[in-house]
Amino acid sequence: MKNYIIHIAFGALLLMAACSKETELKKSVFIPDTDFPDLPAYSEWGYNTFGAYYDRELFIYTENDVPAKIINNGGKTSFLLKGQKRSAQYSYDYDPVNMSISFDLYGFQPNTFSDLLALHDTTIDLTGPNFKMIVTIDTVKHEEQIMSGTLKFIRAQQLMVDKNQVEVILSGEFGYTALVDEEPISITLGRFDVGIGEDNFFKY
Amino acid sequence: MKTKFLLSGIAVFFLISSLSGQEGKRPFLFVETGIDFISCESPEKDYIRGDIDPYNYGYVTDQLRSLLHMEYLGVKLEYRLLNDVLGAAGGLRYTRMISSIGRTAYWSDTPDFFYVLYKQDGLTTEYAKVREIMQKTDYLGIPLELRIYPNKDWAINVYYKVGAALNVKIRNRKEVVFYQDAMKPYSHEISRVTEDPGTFHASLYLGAGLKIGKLAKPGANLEISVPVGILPSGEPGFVTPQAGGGCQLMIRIPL
Repeated sequence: MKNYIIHIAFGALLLMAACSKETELKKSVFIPDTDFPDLPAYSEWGYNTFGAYYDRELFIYTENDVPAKIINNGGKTSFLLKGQKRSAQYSYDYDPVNMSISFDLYGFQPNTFSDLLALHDTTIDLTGPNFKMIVTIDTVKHEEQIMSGTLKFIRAQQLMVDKNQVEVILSGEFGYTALVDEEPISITLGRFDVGIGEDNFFKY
Repeated sequence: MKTKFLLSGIAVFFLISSLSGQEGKRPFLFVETGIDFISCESPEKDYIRGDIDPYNYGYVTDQLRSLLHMEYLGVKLEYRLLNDVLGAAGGLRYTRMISSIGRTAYWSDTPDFFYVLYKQDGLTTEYAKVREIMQKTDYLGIPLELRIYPNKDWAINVYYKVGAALNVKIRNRKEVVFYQDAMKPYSHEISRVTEDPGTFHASLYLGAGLKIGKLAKPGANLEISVPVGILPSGEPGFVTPQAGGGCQLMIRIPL
């Protein structure tokens, strides 16, 4: 019994030592874009922000939701951006709507968040056969009919803090045009700078 | 370069001292010490990660602060001219400039460290958690001053001065205070990404002082001064000075 407890305690210590949890790095840091101040500036610091124009509205991260998740399940890997759609003109929108975009990549099966480094300098054609996009607005989920667009992972970097591995930072841009209820819409000036670690990487 | 500067300073010293004995020009030897405090702009560095404002959650904050102060020690020779109304002084001065970047943790709810990006190698980026980065730079300089003594030689007199100091760097070192002591061996890597001070440093200042004691006997001078211009060579500097002031104490010896 005593040996069993020692093994559990030692295993727990090893697990804790393997990866560092930097809670300060999980916060979102908003630095406004110089030309489009409603949007976060493109950065590669892992500031946990994303933003884009959905036609004239904003699709942007919020402080209440985890801005990005990687979910490896069912033969596909989803890059999920979760936030709100709201008016771009005012700081506070009395009727913001929850919105998320899931970029589903087929043929890419990371086992851990470290495997996301393979996305470095990768451009994905959103009209390609190994790709689907699911948009959820409020609680309504639908698959986008993409007419054209790209998702570009400009940089993937493994982040070490005080010599401990913490997360992988994914930074990039996206934009596309799609048919929604037979009306074309466009997502423009999309950018993201997010950290993916143990708590927002899922494989099941 | 440093040897030339030192020889120039000694030459100025002897040039002024060569005026000794000329009628109407009284020389005084000053041994001085002083300290200046300079406020600086909030640092915006490519190698320091932004942080959020705890009172405006999500927005970047300027919780980082730069500090700068200078301590100095020197000797000056002053000659009184025009019936002791004007005093022209020059000499040699050793200055230590101490600048630092750290968090204003006193009134903030944010942790008292910041992230420094010190290495990027392929697809790996390394941050260090740092409490403070400090830079200590030693200069050898030549102060040149003009003092105006509007009043007669009383026991205590007020006077005014304008001065400039030209300095050359003789030594520089950086100190990093890490959040975790285990990172101390990597101090040199942090030092490598931070800016180095320029070789030359010049300042222009205005001041006022109290002359204590009559001129015929040893006495003291107490001064306050305000820098009106600071010129480090090379940019950007480790800190960006804005405004400040200082005080100086001198022992005055008539020759």
